Amino acid sequence: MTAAPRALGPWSRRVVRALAEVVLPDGDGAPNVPLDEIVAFADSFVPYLPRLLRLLFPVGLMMLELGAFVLAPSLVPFSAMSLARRRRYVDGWVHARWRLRRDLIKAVKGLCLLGYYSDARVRARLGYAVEEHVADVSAERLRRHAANI
Amino acid sequence: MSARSGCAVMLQTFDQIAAAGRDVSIDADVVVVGSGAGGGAIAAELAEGGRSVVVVEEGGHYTSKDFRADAPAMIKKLYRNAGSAPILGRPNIIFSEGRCVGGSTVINGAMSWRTPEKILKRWQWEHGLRELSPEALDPFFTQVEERVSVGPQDPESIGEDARLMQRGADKLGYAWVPAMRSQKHCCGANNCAFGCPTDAKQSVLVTYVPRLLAAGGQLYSGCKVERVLTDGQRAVGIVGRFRHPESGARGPKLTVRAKVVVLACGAVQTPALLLRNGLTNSSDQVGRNFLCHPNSKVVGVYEQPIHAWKGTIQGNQIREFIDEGIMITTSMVPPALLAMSFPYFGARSWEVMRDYDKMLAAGCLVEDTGTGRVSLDLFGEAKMRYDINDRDFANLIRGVALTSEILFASGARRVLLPFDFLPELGSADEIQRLYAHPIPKDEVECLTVHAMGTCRMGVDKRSSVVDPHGESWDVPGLFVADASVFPGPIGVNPQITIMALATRTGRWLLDNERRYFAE
Repeated sequence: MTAAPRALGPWSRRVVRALAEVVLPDGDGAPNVPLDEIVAFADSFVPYLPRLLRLLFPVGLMMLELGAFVLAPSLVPFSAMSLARRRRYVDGWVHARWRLRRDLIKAVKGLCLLGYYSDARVRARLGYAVEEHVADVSAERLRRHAANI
Repeated sequence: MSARSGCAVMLQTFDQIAAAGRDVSIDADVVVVGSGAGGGAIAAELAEGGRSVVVVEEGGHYTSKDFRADAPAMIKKLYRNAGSAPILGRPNIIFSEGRCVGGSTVINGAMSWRTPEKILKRWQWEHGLRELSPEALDPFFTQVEERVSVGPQDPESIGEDARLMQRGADKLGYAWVPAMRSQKHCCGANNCAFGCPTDAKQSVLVTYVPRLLAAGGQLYSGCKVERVLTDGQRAVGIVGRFRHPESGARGPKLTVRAKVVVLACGAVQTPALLLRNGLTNSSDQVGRNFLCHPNSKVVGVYEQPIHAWKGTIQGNQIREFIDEGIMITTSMVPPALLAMSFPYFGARSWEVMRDYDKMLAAGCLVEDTGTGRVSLDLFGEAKMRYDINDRDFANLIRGVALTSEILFASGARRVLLPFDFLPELGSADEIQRLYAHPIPKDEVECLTVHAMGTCRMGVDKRSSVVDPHGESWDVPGLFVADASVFPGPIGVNPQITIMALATRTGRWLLDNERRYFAE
């Protein structure tokens, strides 16, 4: 099979990484998933977006990055802000009056969380042992119904 | 030859065609675009009726050996745009549909209901479709139900989530029905949304596709149809381009010359293909009347682990409010998809999600009275627009309130809502808060997997796209056989209605051989 193409440039990856650090669960037993893995996950997902969204994705990240100068306001872009300031800044986007800002942060946040909660370590911590469940019930189905399926 | 089974059937994938490196040109009686509920059913019907049939599917060919519980990986393989296509409007609605051999039947819950009689009556009286009576459609429903093995679940496959919903509904005196699904001894793996790993789900992939191939039909996967050919009057075939289903890499060209062209790409892609080709739109109705059964998720959190992710995807449906246009059921999803739908992030996300094993996700679906539109974007791709109207929005809020009520009645300690401004309820008494203030439409999380109505069937060519048999009013020999033809919403899962109407169109073609297939 041909590998899916990568979509994000180094600049976009830096912004996603900075956002992922804010969005990903931490503390209180939350498993640690390396940020680079989340960035790679997001990068692998973007090529599948509808073409218009795919093209607008880096534009949205640029708004998030450079918007910090005006909206934070900050002397440095989003990805260079301290974690505490990034948290406050992202919170501002989540509750922004302008719907486009809320939609954008929701999409990127969702992508990061999709990557995080799909991680095997996180699934195990949540007790979501789905592979074992599928194997168990599949075997049971064969045992019970082999003659009828 | 099938690369997977090795048996002498004609199922060709992108990789096989690309390896040969040559354009493909074939003649057939019928070319069917799309291999989902509609395309699969009509293709098998026609092939078994003795017609030469070629099916062209844009997505890839995957089987139960490929299906795993790895949600992101499977979403990329099996869903169009990895399930991320937005329906723009207030609120934005996430739309997911299958893009693989078998179409959305590979990734849906296989819920199998006949079109409700009240809907057929509405189609008869409001749209003049007198032939769509329950009696006239009964043979088609019966055939489809037999082909895809519709029946109740084996008791051991029912999960705790369905039992709790049933308990809640019983406490409140709400009517519910056991799920009817197309399945053979489903074991409750609950991997329906990512392909059934046991082949218990009787999707088109394991029912109609094998029938089609056994009857001599051909199926090409990984090929996107770009043009519908006409001779100036009639439809005479299609031209497509093989593209790798995942990378999008270009392959050779496919030309199929056929006496009949059937479009069955679903209610979003079928109108988009017609609009790109400037076909059959004298009524200006192509892409209009877009219906989507908006629905929202409500999550109950219980004191003890309930393992709601074990057991069949839906064990029952609450039908108490079906006449009001509200249907409620369970719809547990993996943690990653659930976490995405919550407004939380950071530490708060984990605080909520660590109770995943105590959660029960339920959904309420609204039979829409408003409509939206499918049109083309700057790149010629389908663009969906849908603003939920006030009536349907009020119904959706009521659906969320009723679902919350049922969850609390079943023992939930708290309920997580699909609203940014009011994300949680602590008791049934708090449900009234949903009605205390006007809820902004764009603060509601909505999603859908049901798209309908964009090439609607009718008896008046000025207000419909296809005639009562699914044939285009403008282009003879061009048929539509998917949920596009629905004249209105149906309020229940549409798979069986799509299959029955497609089978009926197939039978019409076979019964009128001289008209459509004469040399």
